[in-house]
Amino acid sequence: VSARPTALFDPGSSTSVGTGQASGRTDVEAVRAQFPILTVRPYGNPLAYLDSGATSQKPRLVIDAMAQFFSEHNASVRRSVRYLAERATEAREGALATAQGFLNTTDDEEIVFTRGATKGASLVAATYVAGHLGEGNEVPVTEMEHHSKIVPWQMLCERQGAQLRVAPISDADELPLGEMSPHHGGSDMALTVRSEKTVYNRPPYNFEAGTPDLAGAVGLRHETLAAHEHDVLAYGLRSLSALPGLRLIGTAPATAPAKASIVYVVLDGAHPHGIGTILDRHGTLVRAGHHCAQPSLSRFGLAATARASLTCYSTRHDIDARVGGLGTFKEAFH
Amino acid sequence: LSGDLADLYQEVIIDHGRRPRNFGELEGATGTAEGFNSLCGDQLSVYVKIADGIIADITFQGAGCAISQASASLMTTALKGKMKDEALALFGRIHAMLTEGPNANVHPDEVGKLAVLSGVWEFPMRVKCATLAWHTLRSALEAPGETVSTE
Repeated sequence: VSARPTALFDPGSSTSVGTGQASGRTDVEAVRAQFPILTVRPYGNPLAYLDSGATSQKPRLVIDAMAQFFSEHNASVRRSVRYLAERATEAREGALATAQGFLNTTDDEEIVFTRGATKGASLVAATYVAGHLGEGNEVPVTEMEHHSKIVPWQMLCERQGAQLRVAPISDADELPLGEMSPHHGGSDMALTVRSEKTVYNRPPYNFEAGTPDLAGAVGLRHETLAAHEHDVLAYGLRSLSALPGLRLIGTAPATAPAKASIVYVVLDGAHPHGIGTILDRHGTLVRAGHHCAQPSLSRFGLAATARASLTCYSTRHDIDARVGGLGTFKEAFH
Repeated sequence: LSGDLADLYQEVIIDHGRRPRNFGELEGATGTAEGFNSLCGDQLSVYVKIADGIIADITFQGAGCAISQASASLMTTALKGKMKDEALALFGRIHAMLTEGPNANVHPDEVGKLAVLSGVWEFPMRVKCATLAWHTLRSALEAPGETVSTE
């Protein structure tokens, strides 16, 4: 649509997060400066945002790309010869190219934009899998799934007489161990519709019925951030495991393969909601509750945990703020 | 703790949260109901024994945060020996105090010791923690055996 914004993380530049661990703190500060929301001060305190697993914050260039889309190009995509619809369609194709680069694919039919991951999982369950599933088949899920990755399969298995099998996870919270038919009826998924028969469009359009989150697709930007997240994660695990009375859920070390940058904790006899509220008033935003993963929590004999999830703009300061808040909590409750 | 947090976590709440009174199943209960807070996974059951329109005994059991445990615990201590209608009237006042705060015009005398819950109003995300026991109580009194949700 327009000149591509400059990359958030340029692997070749000195402000790269990837090389940031070697050259110091300024790099993550340069990254943080691109996230306007990080300047918000909850109840007058600096913000330590530790809930990126639930909702990640958006950098200025993504906000600008989405705002530009809404300000200049918003229309129903691939559906009209009007000026705006053409601009919206170009924007979709541009977003496709970005996603292809990220996922290393070249085939236009391989990427479908949906409203989000939950919708995407339901789509796969209700189309590709539904067409291949029957009695005697099994659908494997794991004990660590989010509800959105359990419920669609449960529904499908019930409907089609298949069995849901749950793969166990270890105490360390580790797992000891891909043709579709159209799903959602609506505009653009069909080539011709008559009351007796519909001729479907080709992929991916037959899966993008209705209006997908196009601004979201236009806002897609990416870069590898693993090293930075890993550093903050390792720091977090170290500092938190030093707190008396605190139990880490998922004890796999930061170096374990596929370890997510998420730290779940429970504190002796204390309910995570109290922790969440007290941290919140100190500007530290963590998630308290079952995180839409109740089977996983039951596996550990818990109803709720306090969770910190990390990403590119997370810092050791955020971890320190959490540790400090937990100290205040312990003082009040013991 | 200071400010709003001190209002929320008053000593009485921390005490009841840590050592809930009237905790456990009630033998010979005439009414019981189960409540869930789907937001956080909290769950509790309320048991009541009604004799001649009076709450002869009341207990609760479940798992939850300090606010929900304290609210349930304080509720049971406040309602033992009260008429069923008085209990429902108190439900109304507590609900108003928790959801509307000072606008509810509930005088501290009208709620007794339960006034310690008034600080919860400042924390909209936590109001359901405090109301769960009360919704469950109402169900135990009016529609025993039902499961209630704070949603």
